Amino acid sequence: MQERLKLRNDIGAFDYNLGCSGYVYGLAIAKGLLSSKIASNVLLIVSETYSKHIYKKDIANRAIFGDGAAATIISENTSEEGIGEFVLGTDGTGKNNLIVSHGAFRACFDSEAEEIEYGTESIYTKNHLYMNGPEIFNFTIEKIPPLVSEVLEKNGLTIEDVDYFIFHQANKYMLNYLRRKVRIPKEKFYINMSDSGNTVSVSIPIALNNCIKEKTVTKGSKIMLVGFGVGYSWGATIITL
Amino acid sequence: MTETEFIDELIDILELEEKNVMLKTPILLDSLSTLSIIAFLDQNFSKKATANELREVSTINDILLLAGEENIR
Repeated sequence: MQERLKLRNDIGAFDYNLGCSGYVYGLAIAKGLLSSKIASNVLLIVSETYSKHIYKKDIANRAIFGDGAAATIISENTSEEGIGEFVLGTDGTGKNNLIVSHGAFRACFDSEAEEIEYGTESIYTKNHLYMNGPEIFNFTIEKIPPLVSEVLEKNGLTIEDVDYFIFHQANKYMLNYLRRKVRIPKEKFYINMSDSGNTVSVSIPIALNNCIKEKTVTKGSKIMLVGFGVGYSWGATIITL
Repeated sequence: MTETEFIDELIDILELEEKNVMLKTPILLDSLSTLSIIAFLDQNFSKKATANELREVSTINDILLLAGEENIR
């Protein structure tokens, strides 16, 4: 990226690996780099090509996920005023419910991996993405409502103080259920994945960009961002545009 | 929730078309109806059903057991 963007050599760059909570974690890292004066501007790029992880016969996941990328520049001033307090969390007991088992260092790509049937007429192999939808739904029902309460409390705000809520665009059914459970008004809650599907860590910045373009949010709007997924991993913050 | 209300809720959620749905009526959960049952159990009974438990569901009564017999009048 440094070469292709023709950036100076005295700019640090690194990769981090995370799923659907990745954008919120990226903002947390950026805020840390800015507030500690290690950097004065941060270019945060989140990028996903989950289509490469999904087996051709996995009709369930093929219908859910989409590829995408987003770039965000966060500068010194935004860290003071624009990015609020974070709540982050992890529960490794859920690791097997959303995973590509083979293809990395511990378990290499298996050229003879068997086809495994799951869910409703879907098939995957251990070289490909597996998602246990019901367990992921259980995880979100358990973790996301308290996460919303905790991040509100940490930022000294109530649901009424927040202008708009952008959750990771996992799936419409799940988001609608979470919205009702947390008691967020429908008009303050973003749901739109019709153009791109679930783009993992990219879904929040795509939503944010759409909201800015559509003027759903404007300068000064307080927006809660909530990411959750593989790991399990979750994170939330409140930004001010 | 009464047993009749429980069955009526499931007729609605699962879009059952049979007449005379009873506790022993066989059902088949697809991926979306599985999510609907998880939401139904959480919302009405604060009960969590695992993926494995839901995979074993074959009748309305199996869902009633997940909701807890003590919660159905």
